[in-house]
Amino acid sequence: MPTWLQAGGEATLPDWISAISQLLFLVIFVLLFLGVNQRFQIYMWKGGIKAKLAILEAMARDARERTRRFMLENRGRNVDDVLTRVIDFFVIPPVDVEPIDIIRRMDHLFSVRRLRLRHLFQSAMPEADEYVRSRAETAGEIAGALNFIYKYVRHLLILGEKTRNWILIMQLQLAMHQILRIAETLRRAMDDFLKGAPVGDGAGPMVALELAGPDAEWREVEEETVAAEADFEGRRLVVVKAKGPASSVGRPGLAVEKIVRDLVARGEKPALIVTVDAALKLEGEESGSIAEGVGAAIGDPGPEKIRFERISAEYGIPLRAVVIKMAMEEAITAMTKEIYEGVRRAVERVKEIIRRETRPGDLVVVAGIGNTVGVA
Amino acid sequence: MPLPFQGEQGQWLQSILMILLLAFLAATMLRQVAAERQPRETRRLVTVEECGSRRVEREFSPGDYVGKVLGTCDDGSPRRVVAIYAVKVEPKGRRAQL
Repeated sequence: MPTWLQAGGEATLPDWISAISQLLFLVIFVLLFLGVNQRFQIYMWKGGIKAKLAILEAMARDARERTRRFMLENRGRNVDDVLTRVIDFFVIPPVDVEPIDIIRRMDHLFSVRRLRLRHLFQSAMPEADEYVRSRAETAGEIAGALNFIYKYVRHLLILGEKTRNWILIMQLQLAMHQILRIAETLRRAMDDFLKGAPVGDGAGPMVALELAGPDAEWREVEEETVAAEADFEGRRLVVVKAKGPASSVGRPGLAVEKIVRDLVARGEKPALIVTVDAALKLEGEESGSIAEGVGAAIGDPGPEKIRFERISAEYGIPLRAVVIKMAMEEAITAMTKEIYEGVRRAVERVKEIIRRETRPGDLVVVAGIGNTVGVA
Repeated sequence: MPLPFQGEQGQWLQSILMILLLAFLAATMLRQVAAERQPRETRRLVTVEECGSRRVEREFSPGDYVGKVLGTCDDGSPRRVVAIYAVKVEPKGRRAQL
């Protein structure tokens, strides 16, 4: 028995500590049965989410401000109004329970979106050249993506609180680290796009540029898409890519379809079509590593990719794919040295495929897929 | 023989152990918070120029793009930008995170 409980005994400091701690343990033990521990855990999770939400809000605000500043530096007009419209711009996906002509509908919706955004930036930056304007457009889209992430996380938090959906809050807290990582990648991507540096996704166009050679004469074959002819060990190459150095992915599927139809009409059927693109690596795989396969290497939702498949199937032309592997963060931020080395290896791999699968005198179409920001 | 937690000395030992336990818990929590705060990665953009077979690296400057002709080399051939890439900068006192 503690001495302070004994009759006439003086309570010492250890007695007090012992008594208070025992009382505390007793109270905690009782509270455990009332679910207070779970409430405390949720309180901690909510605190964590709110702290990270504040970071997301700051990132979204900063992205908008930097885009605004970039536009004003390039004599932008009515910038705030344009940014408000761009940041909240959306596309309603086409009806997919009725798949007939879905590609045509999707293509139409994406074209309308692209034209509307371009028109908005043209009216806001009439004195800027295409190169600068395209970077502002991409920065606006990134600011929109960051704003959406912030608003969606806030929505889930408020919804979880309102409906007392503790599972939703727990899931959100567990996903917050990954969400912040994506937001941080977008923030860095914005820096690189505004600087005009090539991004990892530009690996495909860089391969095309290398294959066509430095003196190639590029001609515009489709909207923001160019083609050049080159000679490689007796084969005639038609190289296609988006028009750089502006930030654009062009219409490579449409361009290749048009080129192949023109060639076939002239009696010059291509012997091979090769697509080169950046591809997301699996965790553990090396950045810049190369892989080859069959099919259209293009990360488009459908309208461009299907044109490669249809045209190659229609004329029985083998469709080959070469990919340069990278993480999602590497694909949208400045190209790393590892990926650049991957580009050089991909050029050699494409040459190997052409040597092995075609004969001198054959015609080969090579499409470098990806964003041409910082790549001529 | 008295047990370690018995008597007046034992009560002091109990208090000290409890304080040590609380200190350990607080330190563990602080370590977790510090681990979440990862240092921002530093990168440097490099532009590679080519003159014939000679390649020169320099700092990226706004307006550079791959394929840009910057002038002529000593032998009269065009001096071009052949690559632009980011290299990771090792933070002072830290090992490079690859």
